[in-house]
Amino acid sequence: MKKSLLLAFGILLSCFVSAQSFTSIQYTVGVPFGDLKDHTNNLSGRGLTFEFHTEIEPAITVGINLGYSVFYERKDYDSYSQGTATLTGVQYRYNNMFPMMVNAHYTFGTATIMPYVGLGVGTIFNLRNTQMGLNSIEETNWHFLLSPELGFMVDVSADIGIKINAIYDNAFKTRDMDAFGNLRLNIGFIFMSF
Amino acid sequence: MKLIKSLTIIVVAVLLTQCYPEGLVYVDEADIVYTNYDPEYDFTAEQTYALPDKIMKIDDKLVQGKDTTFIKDEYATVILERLSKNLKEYGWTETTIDNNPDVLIAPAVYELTTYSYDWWPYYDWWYDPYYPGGGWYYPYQVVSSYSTGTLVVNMVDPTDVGANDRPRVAWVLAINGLLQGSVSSFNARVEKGIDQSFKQSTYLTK
Repeated sequence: MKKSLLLAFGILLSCFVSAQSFTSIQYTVGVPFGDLKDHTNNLSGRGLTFEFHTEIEPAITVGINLGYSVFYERKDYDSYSQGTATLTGVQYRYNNMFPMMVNAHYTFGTATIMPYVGLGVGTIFNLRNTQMGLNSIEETNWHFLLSPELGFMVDVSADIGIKINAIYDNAFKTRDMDAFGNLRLNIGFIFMSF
Repeated sequence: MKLIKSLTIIVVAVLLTQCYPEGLVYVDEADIVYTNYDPEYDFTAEQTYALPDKIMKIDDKLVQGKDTTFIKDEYATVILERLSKNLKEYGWTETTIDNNPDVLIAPAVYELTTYSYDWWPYYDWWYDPYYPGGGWYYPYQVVSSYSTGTLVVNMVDPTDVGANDRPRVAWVLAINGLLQGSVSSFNARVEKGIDQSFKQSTYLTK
């Protein structure tokens, strides 16, 4: 069994190595939805997306996609009640999002500008922090992730291009945290090799 | 190609290391006002209160059994006057402890890192005639501990004795973070905190 797995992994790896591959690094703006928006309502201007893909068919690529975004909001001096207790102060809220998934793209055409659609599946790790005064509440959750995607690539030269896309990270509900969405708007470079 | 790769790596490094959003900037942002009350307590039935003329410290020395110490009068005056002002605005009448007040207002400042809320035997310098059992009890859940620099004020009914012969705490306020920052900012912050504690405790109104 172990040998079979190693063999399968070796064959898969050789496909990746021998096939044409692409690496992209992009700046990411995050737009929160659902529970994420309830906690931190602001856009995230602090984010990155890294992707490595390999071509398995003339119009189809598969690979991995890793991201990082920080959502942040300062809540003004306000009161929060629970039962008979009331707490008042300034709150600093953070959500550190780490989406990681395998995904596939279908590319339309071979012109200079190539639109594509994609779908990814994986997980997203959310490190949530709520700071009030000198106290801090930290929550960590792993969510199942399903991420549709669309975008386009523009050839700049034979081995470099510009990639612009939108990925909607649809994070499913967990036992401790509600579902949420994170729309990643990405712009960056795609390299034939890196 | 090389230039673009280099620039990309620099941008990634800057984003990862330099762009984490800031947290607390000013010391007054660390102040938190906490209040809690006994929902079964009839505040409208009580009219008079008494305040001490000093505010005790709860610190390591006290825990080790040494004599009670107090915060400086200049600070205590600000706190006591502000408590009294807010109570009067809510319709309460000040009296002395010898005139059998309906409630006692018992402030203290924690100078310990943390200290459990539910046992407080160090108040005999003031309440001894009223509290032979030592300490008092909270009929509701309060925060589990107070950190250094927290002002805690209990409203205690000396005639309502409950578990372990301890008198009931009808209301508690805690203002965390006051002992951080400069002395000059203390007055404004403590007044703001005490005002806020009454603002969020309208059930104290007559």
